[in-house]
Formats: sequence, C-alpha cells, structure tokens
Amino acid sequence: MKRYFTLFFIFIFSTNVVFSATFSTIKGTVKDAQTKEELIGASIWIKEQKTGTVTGLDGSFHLQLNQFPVTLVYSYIGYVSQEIIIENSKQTTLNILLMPNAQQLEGVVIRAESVRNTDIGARTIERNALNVMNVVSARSIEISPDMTVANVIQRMSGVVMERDNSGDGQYALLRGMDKRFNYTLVNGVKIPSPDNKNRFVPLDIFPSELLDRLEVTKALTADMEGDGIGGAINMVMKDAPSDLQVTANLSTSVNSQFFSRDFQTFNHSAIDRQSPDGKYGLGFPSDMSHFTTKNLRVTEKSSLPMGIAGGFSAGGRVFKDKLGIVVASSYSNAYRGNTSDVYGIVGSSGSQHITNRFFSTEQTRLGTHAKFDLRLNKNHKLMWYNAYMDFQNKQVRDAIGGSTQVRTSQTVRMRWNHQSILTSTLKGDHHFLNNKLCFNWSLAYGRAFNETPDNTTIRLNVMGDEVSAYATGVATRRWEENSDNDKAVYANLIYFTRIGAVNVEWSTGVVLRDKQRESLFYEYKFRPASSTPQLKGEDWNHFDEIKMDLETISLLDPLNYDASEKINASYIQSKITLSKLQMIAGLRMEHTRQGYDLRFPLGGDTKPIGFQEYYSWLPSFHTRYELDRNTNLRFSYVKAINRPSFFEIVPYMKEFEDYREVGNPELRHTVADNFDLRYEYFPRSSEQIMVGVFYKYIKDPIEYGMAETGRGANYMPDNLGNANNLGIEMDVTRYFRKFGVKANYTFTHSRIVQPKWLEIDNPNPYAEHSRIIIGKNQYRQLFGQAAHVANISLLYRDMENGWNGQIAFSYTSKRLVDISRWYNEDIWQDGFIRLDASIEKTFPKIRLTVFAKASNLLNTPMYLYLDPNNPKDERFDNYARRKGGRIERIEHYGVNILIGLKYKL
Amino acid sequence: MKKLLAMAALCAVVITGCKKDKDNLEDLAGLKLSNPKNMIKPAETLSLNVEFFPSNARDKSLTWLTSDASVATVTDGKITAGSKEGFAVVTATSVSNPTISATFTVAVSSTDMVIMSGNVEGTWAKGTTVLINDQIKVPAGKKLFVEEGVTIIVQNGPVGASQAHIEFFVDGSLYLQGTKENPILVTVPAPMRDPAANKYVGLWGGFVGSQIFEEMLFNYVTIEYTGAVTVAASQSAAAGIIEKVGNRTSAILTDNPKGKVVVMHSTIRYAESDAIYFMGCEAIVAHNIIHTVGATDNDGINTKAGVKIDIAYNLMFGVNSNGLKLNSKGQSIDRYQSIKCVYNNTIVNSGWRRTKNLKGGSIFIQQNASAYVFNNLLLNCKLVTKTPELDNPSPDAGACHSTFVGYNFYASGSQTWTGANPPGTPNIPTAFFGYTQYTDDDIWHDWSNYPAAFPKIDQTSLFAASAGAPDPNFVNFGFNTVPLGEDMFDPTWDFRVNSASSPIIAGVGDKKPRTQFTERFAPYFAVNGLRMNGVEYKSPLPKAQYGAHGVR
Repeated sequence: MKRYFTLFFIFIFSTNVVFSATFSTIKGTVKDAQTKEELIGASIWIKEQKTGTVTGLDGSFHLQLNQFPVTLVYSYIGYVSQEIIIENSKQTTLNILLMPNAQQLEGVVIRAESVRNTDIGARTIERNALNVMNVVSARSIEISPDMTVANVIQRMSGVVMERDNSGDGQYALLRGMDKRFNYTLVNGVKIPSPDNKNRFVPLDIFPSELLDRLEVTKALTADMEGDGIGGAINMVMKDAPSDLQVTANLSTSVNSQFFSRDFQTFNHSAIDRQSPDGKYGLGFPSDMSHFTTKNLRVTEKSSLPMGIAGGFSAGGRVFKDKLGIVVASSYSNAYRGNTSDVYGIVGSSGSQHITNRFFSTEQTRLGTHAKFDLRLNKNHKLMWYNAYMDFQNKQVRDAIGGSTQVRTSQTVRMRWNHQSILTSTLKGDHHFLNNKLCFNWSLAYGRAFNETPDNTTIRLNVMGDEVSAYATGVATRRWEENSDNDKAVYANLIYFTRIGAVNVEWSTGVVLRDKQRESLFYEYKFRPASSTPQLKGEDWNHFDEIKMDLETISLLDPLNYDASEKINASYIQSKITLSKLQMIAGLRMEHTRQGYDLRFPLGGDTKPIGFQEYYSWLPSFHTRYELDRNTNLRFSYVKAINRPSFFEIVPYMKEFEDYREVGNPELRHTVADNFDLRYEYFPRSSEQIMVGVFYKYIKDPIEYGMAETGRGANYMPDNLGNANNLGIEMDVTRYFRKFGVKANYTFTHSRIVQPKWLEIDNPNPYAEHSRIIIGKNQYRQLFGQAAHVANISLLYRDMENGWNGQIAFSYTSKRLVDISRWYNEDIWQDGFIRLDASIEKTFPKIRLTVFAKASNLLNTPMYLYLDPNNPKDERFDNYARRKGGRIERIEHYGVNILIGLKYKL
Repeated sequence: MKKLLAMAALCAVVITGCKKDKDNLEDLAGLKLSNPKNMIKPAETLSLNVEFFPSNARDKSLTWLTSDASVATVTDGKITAGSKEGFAVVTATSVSNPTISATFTVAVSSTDMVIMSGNVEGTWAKGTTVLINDQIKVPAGKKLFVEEGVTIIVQNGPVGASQAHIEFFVDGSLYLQGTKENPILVTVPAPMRDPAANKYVGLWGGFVGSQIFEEMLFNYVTIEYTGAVTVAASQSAAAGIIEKVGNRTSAILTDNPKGKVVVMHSTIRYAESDAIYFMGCEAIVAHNIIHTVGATDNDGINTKAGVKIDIAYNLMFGVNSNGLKLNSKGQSIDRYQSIKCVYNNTIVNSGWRRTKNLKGGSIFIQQNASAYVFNNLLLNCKLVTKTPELDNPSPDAGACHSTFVGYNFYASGSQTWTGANPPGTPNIPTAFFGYTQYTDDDIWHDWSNYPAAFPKIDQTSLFAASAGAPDPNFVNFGFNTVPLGEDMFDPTWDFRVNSASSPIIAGVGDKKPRTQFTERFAPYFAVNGLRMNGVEYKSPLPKAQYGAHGVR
C-alpha cells in the first residue's frame, strides 16, 4: 500500500506545471470588494490570447503575457465581471477587487448566497461567530475524499469518529466526549433518530453532496438547545443559488476484502416484515408453519461485488428570484466487508479460543431533499425544508468459533435493518421596525422509523469437518421495530438597540418539543426438530433446510414500550458589541419530562411506568475580543446537560451471544460546566491558525460498562463518577497557491474516579474464603475518549488543468470502549492511523469531472485489548497480546475504492 | 424542469406520509382456548375464553368436540362435567377453515382443591391439594408453611398474561415440612405425570429463591417435572436471576448469598435442567435422591459464587452430565467465594447421556471454587472428577488452589457403553476406561509431574482396578448389569453393602475412606447448624465410608 501512496505523490508533483520564463509574468490576487476575502477559482481571461487562468487556493494567480496591451477579464460566479487593460510589461502585480452581483428586487438588495459554501465563507462564519465553532464548506467537502457527512466531519479539529462494524464512521465524538454528548441539527432543527440507542441521527446517512456546509459548535449559546456538552453539529443543506445549477454524479465502488473472499448475502425481500404475533395479534398460537424460511438461505457471490452510487441536484430561482427551489437526490449501494477475530480463553490444550467473524454488508442509501425559500419582501422570508432518507443495511455475519486447533461452533446471523427519516421544517424570518426587531420561528415535524424484521441467528455445532444442528437453541429470530414522532416549535425574538456607542441585541425565545416513541420486540427461539444431530451435507445443505420447531416465544418483553419526552425551554440573552469587544450573556431554562411505559408490566421490582422530570438552568457567557483585524481572542463559559436516551431508562433486558444488555431506570442526566479559551489568527480570509484550551467538569457522565449483578455481567449505561476534562486544540489552515494544508490536533486529558473490584488472596490464612474481592478506586479517562486526535490533509489544486487532489491522515490514540467493574480490566481500542485519498480531474468544456476516492488505504486493523495491567493477566500464557494487554478482538475493514463521474451545469 | 422536480419531490414526501386503510376483515389464522381454571368437580360447568387471531377475523364460527363425553361435554365453549372423574380434551375447529383448531384439557375430579396464584402466605394445611394455576410468589417478609401430606399441583405450560411457565417465586420464606410417612408432593396435573413422555420436557419452572429470599426448607418433599424454558416475562428473568433468558430454571434455584436453604430427605426427579442451582445461599443438601435429571447438558447440584454449602449423603442417579458442578462463577464484592464441603455422596451413572460435548462426567470443579470433596462413591460414571484450568484459578477459569479432592472411590462395573457420543468425542467403552485411561489436559494421571502448588486431585482416591473390580457388593443393585446411561430409577435398589469387608467400608490397600474430619474436612453446618424459623438444622457428620449408604 505504501507503494501506491508514493506513486500518488509523484503523480501530484509531476503534474505541477513548470512555467516558462520567456514571457512577461503578471501575478496578483482577486478579492471580494466588500469583505476583502480572497476568491478561489475566479477566472482571469486574456481576451487577445484566448487563454486564461484561475485563482488558486489562496486567491492568487500567475499569468504569462506575450503581447501588450492586453485585456484581462476577471469573472466569478455571483460577482460583477471586470475588464482591465494592461499596457506594458512593467506592471507585474495586480490585485483586483470584484463587486458582488447585487440584484435589484422591489427595492431590496439581495446578495447572492453562493458565497457561504466556499471555504472563505466558512472561515468568515467561524471568525465572526461569537461562540467557538468550526465550519466545513461544501467546496471542501466536494474535493475531499469523503462520501458522507461522517467522513467530512472527522477532518475537523477535535473530532473523532466512532465506526460501525463495516468501518464507516457513524457518530462524531467532539473533543473526546462520547457521541452522546453532542447533538445533530439539520438546518438548525433537531431531527429524530431511528437508532434505538442514540438520540441523534447517524451522520453517514447524509450524502455529502447535499451539504452546503457543516457547522460544529463547541460552546453553546443560550439560544441553542442545552444538551450538547461536547457541542452541536449543524448540517446546513444547500440553498437555492441565484443561477440555475444542476449537478449529477455517478460512481462505482469496491471493497478490497472481497478480492480474497466471497460476499455472502440472503434474500431479504422474502422476510416477513411482521412476526406472527405482530401480524395476527399478541398471543397468536404460532408454530413452525407460520415462519418462512425462504430468507434463511445464504448465497455466495464469488464475483467482486461492485457498488453503485449516483446523485443529482438542481436548484434555481423563479418568480423574479422570489422563490428558490433546490431539490437533491442521492442513491448509493455499497458493499462493505469486515473481518473480526474475537479472542477468548486459552483452553487446557494451550490453544486460544478465537471466533472469526466474517461480515458481508450491503448498504443502500437513498436521500431526497427539497428546499423552498420564499422571499416575500425585504422583511419577510419563509423557508420550507423536506427530507426523506432511507437507509438499508443487509448483513451476513458468519462466525466460526472454538480453539485455533479445534473449531467447535458456527454462528450465522442474517440481518436486514431498515431505517427511514422523514422531516419537514417550515421556517419564517420576519423583520420589523426597520430591522430593529426580528422574529423567527420554525415548525418542525419529524418521523423516524427503524425496523429489523426477522433478524435470524443460526447456531451450529462443528466437530472437524462435521457441521450439525442439534441440542437446544438452533435459531433465534427477532422482530424489532421502533418509530419516533417529533413535533417541535421554535420561536425567537430579537431586538436591537443602541445605548451610546454600544450595540445591544436582546433576544428571547422558546422551544417546545414533544416526542413519542413506540417500540416493539418479538423474539422466537427454535430447537432442532429431531433429537439426533442433523448433519450438513446429509440432512441439509442450506440453513432453510434445517428442520426446527418453535421452542419459546418472548411476548411480554420489556422492549415493548412507549417512550415520551417533553421539553419546554426558554431563554433570554443579550449581546453587547463595543468596538473590539463583543459579549453574549444568556440564561436558558430547560424543563425535561422523559418517561417510558412498558406495554406489558413485569413483576418483581420492575416499574411498569417511569419518568424523570427536572429543570435545568443553563447560564452561558461568551466574549470575543478583536486583538486586531485578523486576530480574535475568545472566552466562553457554558453549562450544558446530557439526557439519557429514550431507551436507556427503560428496564429492558436484551440477550446477545456474549453478554446481556440491560436498561437503567436509575440513570441520572449529566450536567457539565464548560470553559473555553481560544486564540484565532486569520492570516488571509481562507486561512486560519487557532489555539484553544478547554476545561469541563462533568457531573454524572453516562458511560457504558459491564455491571456485575450477582452471577452475570450486564452491559449497562451507568453514572460511574464525576469527571474532569481538560484539553488543548490547535487548528491550522494554510494555502500556498496550488497547495493547501489543513491540520488540527486535540489533546484531551480526562479523569474520573470509579470504585472498582479487585480479587486478591485472603490475607487471613485461617479464613474460610481463600480468595476475596476488595474495593479499589480506579482513576481512568472517560469512556470513548482519545487523548490525542490529529488530522492532516494535504490539498492540491491545479485549476488551469482541472486537477484536484487530497490526502488525509488521521490519528486517534487509544480510547476506552468498555468499562469493567474490575480493577484494571477495562477494554481499550488501540490508537490507529487512517489514510484516505482522492483525486479528480475536471474537463470544463464538457462540464465533467472524473474522480477517484479511496478510504482506509492502510487497511488499518482495529485492536481491542484488555488493560495491560490486568492483575489476572499475569497468569495467562499463550494469549495473543497487543501492547502487553490481552487482545479482545481485531477487526479489518479493507480498503474502499470509489471511481466516478460528476457533471455540473 | 426544476418546478417539475420540486413537485415530484414534494409528492414523494406526501405519499410516504399516507397511511394504509386497515379496517377490512381478514381470514382467520389462529385460535386459542383458555381458562385459568382447568379442574372442575362433577356436574360443574366451565366457560372457555376463545381468542380469534386476527381479532377482526371474518368467520368466527366454530364446531366443538369432546374426547370423552362421559367426563365432560361441550356446547359453544361451555364445558359441563359429567359424572366420571378423569380428563377430557375439548377441541374447537373453525367452520370455514378446518385446519385451524385449538384444544383445552379439562380435569374432572371430586377432590377438594384449593386454587392458588399471586401473592401467598400463611399455611397450607396437612393433606390439602393445592392447584397453582398462574404465577405465584411469597412476598418479601412473608412466610408460607406447607404441612405434611400436601399435594401441590402446578399447571403446566405457558400460563396467564405473561405466557411464561409457572415459577414458585420466593422473596420471603417458604417451609415445606413433610414427614417420612407423609411427604409433600409438588407435581403437575395427573395426565402429565408420565416419566416416559415428560421426564425431560420441563413442564413448570420450579422454586426460585430471589435475590432477597430469606429461608427455604424442603424436608421430605418430592419435586418433579421442573426445568421449563424461560422467557423475558418469566419471574426469574424479570428479576434478573437467570443468566440468560431462554435458560431453564431448576427444581430449586436461589440467588441470595444471605438466604438459607435446607434440602433433606427429598427427591428431585424428571428435571429437564439442573435439579438444584444455587447462585447464592447458605445450604445443607443431605440425604436426598436426585435422579432422572437433564436432557442435554445438565447437572445434579450446580453451585456458583455466594454459596456456602454442605452436600452429603445424597444419591444421584442417571444425571445427564455431572452429579455435582462446583464453581464460584459470579464472585464479586458482595458475592463471596463459593465454599463447599462435599462428602459421602453416591453418584451413579453420571455423564453418559450428555450430548453437547465432553464436559465432565461425575464431578466438575472450576471457576475459583473452593471445594473439599471426599469419601464419595462415583459408581459407573463416565469420567473422573474434572478440574480444568488448574493453572489459572479465577472466577472465569480454574478452581481455587484451596480445593481438595481425595479419598473417593471410582467404582466400575463391567457394562459397556453402546450409546451415541457427543459429536467428535472419543468412545469411552466402560467407566473403568473413563476413570483411568481416557485422558485430557484437565487430568493428571501422572502425579509425579503434578505441580506442587496445584490442588490435590484424587491422589488419595481409590480407582477401579478393572471394569468389574472391585465389586462393592451392594444389597440390591446390578453393579455389572444396570446399563451405563440408564436414567430410570428403581426404588427397590438398595445401595447399602452386604458386609464391612466391602471396599466401600474397608477400601483397597492403602486407599481407604478418610477417617479424620477436622479443619476443612469438617462440614460447615455440623456443629453450628442453620437456624430457620426457630429450628436448627445441622449437617450430618462425615463417615469413614465411600458414598451415602454404608453397610446393611
């Protein structure tokens, strides 16, 4: 792989055009006349020579002129073109200011809005924002090797991605805080997640080409919802451009895992979407005849599975530019592979038990977005955004277990998961009293749906070459479904006053949200129909041919529940602007009433109905001081909370192969004090250098770990202590004409004290119990937190020849992924380096771009290992180890390669 | 063009939001008959609840049939008992689709019967017959006394709203105080009492002592047909007692390290799963008969962390895997290391019927258990005592190094094994072969290489010299004839020996039963017994003999 990487570099450098010195050279920059921002990709056309160039990543250009006088035409989308005549070769530098393309519309000047989605726009937002935030522009998303929002966001400072088992990032961890501590917005509105465990949507369901920009806010203001201790991610979807814009792309992809093994799949369309009890009513006397087996046949594709993806977007304005319409649609179908080796005990024979899991995943995503904005007049604007997203994940997990010498079991899971999100937001923005009073509101409706019908696991016994179905528990089939309905109202009132030389902006607002969730769960267990083993090859060849009987039905499972959450929030905030100093102080109140209602009350101590109700008072204070025009100093303090997810407080219990997971009705919400200090320097408008420190005191963070309850260990969300979190972050963006470097690094130190258990020899030799367990405090970092996170992207852009390239490195140091009740027995995910690259070549005449993107080029394995200081580990011989710790599992994801075409009108 | 696209997108959004009309009638797919009461007296009537699936089924007409009109007749869901005692199966069949039918079994009996379910306490008086027809529980702080001669009939099958098998759940205290002459019987309805058909079905859950139960006494009690599979709504599952939903419960299951249990002079039989499964209690289990236990991979007495126990003078016959499984799994800061004193037990025919894999065939000790195992007779069992991972004592691995196994007698008849073996495992032709020839890493036959730090395992035990010798000379048991793997118990068997010269008493050569019972050879509850409800129960003292029965 390193070889390819070297080649890539050579390729990039060799395409760098070497200039001829025989001509007179003129160089300069092109900037926005109003903001003085450099314009990237502005064209400079030499009328007489019929050639031209475009500005580079730093807004600069070089031209060779061989005759005088010449006429240079400067143009850029959304700006008024300019012609400049160069009389002679004496002039070598030329800095041009372009005026934005202003349009007269009923006496209103509307500035073209295509500016914010550029890098410069992004830097401008960051720079002018009063709170700590980072922005990625659509343009940098477009040229990055990233296919989904999830890939994009991991290039931002202080962001780590949590990957699913096909290696794709799904959730962002901001500043080393677990994903649960940040929230996701679409156009400023929360949308419900179909995911059972997470309040917020996975980022990989958003295709990156729909994005206008991505804003990551790390310190909340009082007008933002308060449940983002780590921060908030806002995906701003594309707006209607003033000129008609049409883009389309088509690509195909492969995963390197399937170069060497077959892709396994099954017929998910044969799945009964409803279980017998769901179909006919609870308590239906079902038997084997009510279950189809057509979906249980696993087939292998020996040819390399090729994914396909396409996207289309069109936007423009009609009715004298009053109504803007953007529609975008994307579809992708990708094949992902993952091999996971789960390490178990070393048996008495001295060989270790390893379960080798082979995942074959087919992901299908469909996203459709429609955004309308209506500019009624200069004071009133309406926006209506609709999106429907559909995500399907079909996976076969084939696992072979046993010691390395003697394989004893095969477990095959066939799972088809389907999620969809429908969201519709109507927004209004109104200005009164000559813009002194603003009122904006949003009505949001969201519906999220998640189903995993007939999730089947087949368990077989392996002895040598003999595979058989016998004894109890040959199959488990689960039907899971949950749907969420979210209704929300947002309203804000802003009033601008001027007291002497001080501008004061007063604002107040409310959020009312009502969320309802319905969750269904049915589980059926099957035993072999015969008491003698059914042998593969003799009695059956495919799983659908195994004869089985229904053994148990789990009907009244606590996973059948309704959950609700009502949030009423309001705030007041004032923003004071002196010449160089800006301050925002605000107070937010959030009232939470979160509850569940089990459909089938269980006996015992389980409460059939439970709710948590509390008020949170969340003060915030932000200040920004302009040291000079290009330098800011910021400080902020914010109090924020984190609520348990809807699922976590339900007293459910869910069985997995290796462990049992339970809910925790006693789980408390987290409250955190956040302090931020940041220094920013913007050498040029598209560039920045930023250094920040932050500190958080986190009371009752919610973490996941194994809680021993008597004889078994349950995987459970819990409040394990209070944490201190201290960090430094640095972010540098620099451009050198055709090259750009973006680098960021975040160091986070967190500490939490957790009382744990330690097994020791009884110091009293006369005691009955020779081995005892004592309590011992463990100092450790927060769940999911990485101490070091670094990203470096190298950009190359040759506008004249239409080349774009990017290499992105990311490093995440080890982080805690499973917290044990036992001293020094936590499980770590080892640090890893990831390398992604992309290259594209544009052919402007035919408006086509050819691109190739590769992710996970190093095929970096993921290691999970037990704490090397595990006191029990010393005794263990013959165990596979990583950094001295006993390996729990190793996962390989393969390299994903994508090649495609883009069209832009 | 762009307007069209916008409209299309909008339509897509609107269509997705629409809902299907579901109010149409549908074809009948299933039928269910129920009534929590299924026993009536002659001439009484009983109305059945009929459930149609789906509930909006088009045709709900049914035809009714009874299997024995002299016991009970049925008209339109109403059962009328005849004059004859016995059982009748009532069948309802859909008129429009005769492939859909449901049955209900009714018992007609003139016996007076008390029907119980829900929270119970107080006393069930001598000689009463109690029918338990739904989940039942002794609440925390409450006591239930069951007097001698009581018959407890537990409704089999999934019942009630939970559709879980019945478990007799104890948060408080339960005293089943039978007598030798008038034992207590805990069983299922009479037509289900068929060992040939139902010995390993698991018709009901068994007794479950919760995390807070206080005391449980089983004195002269017979418990049968337990080991039902659990679902999430089972009491044991809802309380988080069983390790995994779908596991089967035991005849007696406990989960409170501070709880007290005495099981004496009782019989546990026809159990699908383990007969006794203790995950926490102080216990005496003595003078019991445990037989015909386990379908695939189950044990007689299985003890985990948080258990302090004396196991003595029990006879275990035809247990699927191990007569005794001793470990300390689940040890934690509030669940102490499991300690056990195991002596003078007779384990017969263990291990042969296990189909899952080869994991023990008499006694199995692991997972940090601290066990003293001596003076036991292991007769015609498949394997010797197994102690895997001795090099790694831990609640996840091998036994604690304070464990001692010795002074036991591994006796083998001359029968040969003709049954099937777990897939991929070697054939073990005789008990003698299993004791002395079959070897794996869990057993050290060569004591000279045995690490000094390891627990002493069977170095002082007596092993059969061949298949058939030495013969203990039982009063009445076919030492060489009762087939290996036989699981049906013959109550006329007498495991006492005819003379004191039997190796059971005298040993062979220097291998003799232990005679000194001090320190760890002393039972935990022989001097200071377990005090329950004002009565002190003491463990019997060990005797210098192999097994439970001694000389006639």
